[in-house]
Amino acid sequence: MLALKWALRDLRGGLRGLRLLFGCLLVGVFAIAGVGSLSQAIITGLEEQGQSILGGDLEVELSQMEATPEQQAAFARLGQVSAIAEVRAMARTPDGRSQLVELRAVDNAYPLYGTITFAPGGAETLQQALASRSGTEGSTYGAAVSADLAGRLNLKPGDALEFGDGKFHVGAILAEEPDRVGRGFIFGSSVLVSREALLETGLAQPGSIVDYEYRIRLPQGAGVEAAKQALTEAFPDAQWRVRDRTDGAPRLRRTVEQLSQFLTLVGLTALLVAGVGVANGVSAYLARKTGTIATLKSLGAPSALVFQIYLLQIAVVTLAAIVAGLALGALVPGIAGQLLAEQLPVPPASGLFPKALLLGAGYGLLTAIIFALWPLAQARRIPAARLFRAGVERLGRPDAATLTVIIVACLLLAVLAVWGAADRKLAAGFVVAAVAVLALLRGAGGLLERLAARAPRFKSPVLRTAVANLHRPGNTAGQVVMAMGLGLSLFAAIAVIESNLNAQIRSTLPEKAPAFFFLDIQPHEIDTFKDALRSTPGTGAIETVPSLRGPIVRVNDVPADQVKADPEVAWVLRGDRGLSYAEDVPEGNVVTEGDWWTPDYAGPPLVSLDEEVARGLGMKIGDTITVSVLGVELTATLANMRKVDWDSLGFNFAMLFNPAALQGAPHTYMATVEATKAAEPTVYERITGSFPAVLVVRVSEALEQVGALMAQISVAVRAMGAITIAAGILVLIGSIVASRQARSYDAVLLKLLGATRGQVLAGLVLEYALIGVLTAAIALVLGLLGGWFAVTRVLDLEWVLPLGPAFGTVLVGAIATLVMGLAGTWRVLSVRPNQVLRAAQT
Amino acid sequence: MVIASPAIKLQSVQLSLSSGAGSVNILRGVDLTVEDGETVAILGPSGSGKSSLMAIMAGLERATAGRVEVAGEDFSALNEDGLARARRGRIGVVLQAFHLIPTMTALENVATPLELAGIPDAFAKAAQELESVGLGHRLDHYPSQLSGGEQQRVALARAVAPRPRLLFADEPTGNLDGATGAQIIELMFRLQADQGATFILITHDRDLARRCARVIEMRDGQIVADRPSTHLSAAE
Repeated sequence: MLALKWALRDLRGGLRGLRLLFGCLLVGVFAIAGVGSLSQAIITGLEEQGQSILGGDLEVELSQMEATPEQQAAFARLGQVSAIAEVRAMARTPDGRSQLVELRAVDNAYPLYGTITFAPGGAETLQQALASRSGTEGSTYGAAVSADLAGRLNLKPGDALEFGDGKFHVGAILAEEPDRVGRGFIFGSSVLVSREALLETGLAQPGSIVDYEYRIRLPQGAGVEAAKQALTEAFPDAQWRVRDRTDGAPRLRRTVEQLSQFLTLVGLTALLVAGVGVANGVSAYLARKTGTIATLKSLGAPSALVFQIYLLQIAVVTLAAIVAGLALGALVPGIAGQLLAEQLPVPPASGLFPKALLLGAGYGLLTAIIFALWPLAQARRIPAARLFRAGVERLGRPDAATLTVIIVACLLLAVLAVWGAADRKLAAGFVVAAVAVLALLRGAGGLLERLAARAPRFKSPVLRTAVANLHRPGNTAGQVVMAMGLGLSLFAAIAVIESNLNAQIRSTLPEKAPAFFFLDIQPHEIDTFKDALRSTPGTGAIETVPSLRGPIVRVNDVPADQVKADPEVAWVLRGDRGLSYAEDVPEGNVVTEGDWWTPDYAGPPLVSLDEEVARGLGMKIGDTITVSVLGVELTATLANMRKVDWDSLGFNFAMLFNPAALQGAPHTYMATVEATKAAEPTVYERITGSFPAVLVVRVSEALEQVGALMAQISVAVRAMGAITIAAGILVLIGSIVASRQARSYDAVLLKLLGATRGQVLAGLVLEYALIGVLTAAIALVLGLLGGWFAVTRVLDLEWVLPLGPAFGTVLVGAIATLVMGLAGTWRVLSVRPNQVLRAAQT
Repeated sequence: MVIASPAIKLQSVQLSLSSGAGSVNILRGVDLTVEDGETVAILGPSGSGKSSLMAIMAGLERATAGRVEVAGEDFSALNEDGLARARRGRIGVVLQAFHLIPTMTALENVATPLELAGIPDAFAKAAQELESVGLGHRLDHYPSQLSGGEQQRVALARAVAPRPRLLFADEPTGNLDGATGAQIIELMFRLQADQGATFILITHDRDLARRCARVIEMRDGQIVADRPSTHLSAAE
């Protein structure tokens, strides 16, 4: 109680000295609570709208085959059913413009949940929009096209349109499709037609990629799990994928979760930097209290009481900062919902997200303990004798109990960071790297101090003072290097990764990338297709491969959903895989284990797997894998493993079979062609004109879409990086404020002895330039190292050395440090000498 | 025939400082002329304005009104940097609180004004100066490693090292015990005599004031007496 009373009494002087502690913790906690709340809000938003995102309570998806009548009857017993067939197609206008679309044939029950709305000017209901009508060109079906497609092809209601062999008219332009988000990232715009109309197009051919979805609306109160179980029990061998309303957009959910985890780790970096500020803030505050502490002790206060008094004060400010950080973090979903409505897949749900807030509070509290306890424990050792002489003796390391608490808090922080992450290896790596970088930066800061202490003395006394400021007792150069360095390193690494990706897309790709991908080429038209390409001027190498699709159903007789796969290759077990066959090892592939089959091999089916996939699935040569092709199961023995160059943008298959194994199955071809920029429009027109069913993907367009997605992610990462920088700047400001008095005094003494303001300024410039240059140099090295690791080890890309952007980034950082430092100390120059000398005299 | 300008010439000098409670008049029209080589003590109670007067004469403060001429330079016309340049090598100041630069050794502290004034062999001269105040064995010590008396000797060496034309001392023994203070005073007068600098001593110690040739007394920001020290009666 006495401690509390005295703590409050001592606070009459105000909490000004603890502003740095408050600011740093607030920024760090805000970052983590904000990211967590936003991702939780998006995921909750996905869940809340689960029914309309999925389009039902349950969705059964089959690839390239319809459900059997028995299966359809079973769906109908569960509730109301809406069946959808989905196929990719080229939309063509009579004047020859065309565009890849996702053609979805829906029935009258669509949509089971949510509402579909149209832009004004066309039909008002879906039935009206899709109805057929008679016109000058005979009877045409209606199509509801997305606003995106209408924009690209300049379509308005009533305009003619073709898909495959079918003639259509634009019945309406879609304003809102309730199930758009659930379908994830797709190439191509959405078009809705009726089931009958799809048959007219001739696109639903055997071997074409048609997906059938059966959405079920369960009666009120019926359980999703029970319905799923009923289906599994009735059809244990059915090769379908069942999703329910709780997970309407699994890929999107995974992306949001992964991005959020990564951003949380970046946020943790910000918090670590903030921790440096916490330590500085508490140290500076307690340094100012030295006299009070010494007086209290001289009056008989025990060390423990002193410790409690200041612990209470710091705890109050810490809690206030955490609460403020959480409050601001909790506002993020609402603000993001307003400002980023276009970028977010669903509106973030409103409300508080306790898990995210608890995580933020936990991180904040542990950071405060780790960084504030050390100076606090040192302060209890301040002797009463400080009243009589200025302290020159070092206060030494805190006692064992305090050290234990600090170490436990460090471990808890690391555990929290790793335990909360899905990719624990990555999180653990990140924690280790962050600590190593912090230690390295602290070491570099210490080295700067030592070098400054041993540096040959400058002739000019002003410059000598500048160098001395880097190593004088109580200097903060080391901490500034550490705090600014971490944020700058992060930015440099981001710049390196980005410029590597850009360089890959710009320089590496055009050499080997084809200009077009073609899909769904029917076997009977493959030769005329090739001829058409060859006869077009400006085209180069043409490559064609047979293409089939099907999911992996078993690995060594273990059902796919029970296979324990490495998370890195788990994607091969999800959904359909592209399958192909080949006589010879494809170009750019290298057999690393086992033997390739002979061209005339006709024995039991053999398969060749990408070596990472094979190892990730725990397979060895001789093991078996079963795939389902158009409902027929095919079990093949693993004959060899290949190293696949996935960057080559050519045809790469994780799974390749011997020709005899698949030749009999209905399949289509895929093709690529190289073409000059000038020839691209001609190729596009010729193929879309002569082969209406063939899908055309322009590589440059696809890359642009990927690039746009990357840019959005990069903005998010940079935003978090900026918070780290903000924390670093707070530390810098804190150090400037803490040393301002000492600097003013130095400046006045130099002026007293005849130095001009220009000379004093030169000293300040030198001091901050030294700090800035060192920080930038270290950040450059660390950024390059981090970037190199991410590019070569995580992204598996070739490394180019893009010094420019990284150099630019750290240069800006160095200049910012210099400018901030000077701005903070500018006042020093204008202090009136007599004012300071008198203040020091009293 | 060239008539040498006086070391200091003040005409109607006023100083008012603004504070929270309004403007405070510190000096209210001070006229004073000090000839080259004179030794002058300024006496007066606390708050009489003696330190402020010294700050104006040493260029540490700018007068609000009036004319300040020091060593032939019109201080009233100089800005802060001009004042700094004017001090260089010409004015030495010793203050009660020593005011050594904490991050510099004793030698560096003494060398600083020499270097700023562009005097060659600054370090050798600084070492010599420290030798002469008895600190030849403390050259590489930092201020925090020196006693109060030693710090004041460093400050004194620093003030006289550039052979200034004017030497100011504001209560130089205020922070020292009697014996140490006495040593500093002896040293200061010896150095002043050696160099023949004009010497202005701010003090409230009448015995100390008597060691100067001329004694000026201040009260409420004005000079109330100006006489040879021999006229200072023993009883006062």
